[in-house]
Amino acid sequence: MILPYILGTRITDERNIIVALTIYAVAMMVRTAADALAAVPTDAVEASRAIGYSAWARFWQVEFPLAGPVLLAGLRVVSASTIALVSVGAIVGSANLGYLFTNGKQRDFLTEILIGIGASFLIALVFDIVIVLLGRVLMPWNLRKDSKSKHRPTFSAKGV
Amino acid sequence: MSWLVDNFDLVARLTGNHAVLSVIPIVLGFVIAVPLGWIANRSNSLRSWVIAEAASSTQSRLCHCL
Repeated sequence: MILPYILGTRITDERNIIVALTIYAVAMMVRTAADALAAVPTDAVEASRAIGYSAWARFWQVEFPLAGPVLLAGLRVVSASTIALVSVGAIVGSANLGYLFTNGKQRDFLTEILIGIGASFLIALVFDIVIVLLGRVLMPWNLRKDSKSKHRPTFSAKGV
Repeated sequence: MSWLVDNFDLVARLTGNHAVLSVIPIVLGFVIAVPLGWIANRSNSLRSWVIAEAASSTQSRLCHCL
């Protein structure tokens, strides 16, 4: 309720919801991002520094890809929580699925609320699948690692 | 279910708006949080501010010194 004064927007403006949810998403994601980047092996970072990567290139080509899986996991949590929280925006008159909750409650009409829950669940599911697929496309080496570990026993058996 | 059929336009419109309203904070949150996390990793004081556990680890380090 402070945001309209800071942003100079009207109380019913949807930009308030976007800014508030962005702050909330950042608050959740910073922790994950810091942990993910801290978990990047120091050897890899030091090696890239020794080869002569600039700080910018080191981040994009070494730290960011290696922190990728953890960042992805954090993003999935943020996605589900944001989709759930958007419906609160219906209280300030935003036209989203939260409207079905408030309207269904006022009219004592359960079907409407259930359909709102179902649609929210559907959005969350689609977003989750999109994020996971994006991760597979952007980080194909994680899939390769899985198949390699399956083959490893046969390799060692051959060696023996 | 007949309610859904009758009001499908409304539900579809609300769902679309809901998706748009959630995509923007998710993407913006990610774009802002990753550099912040990187900065937090760099400086010790910021790190302890972002990550509460850092405080307990310095405590254990102190114990080792003692």
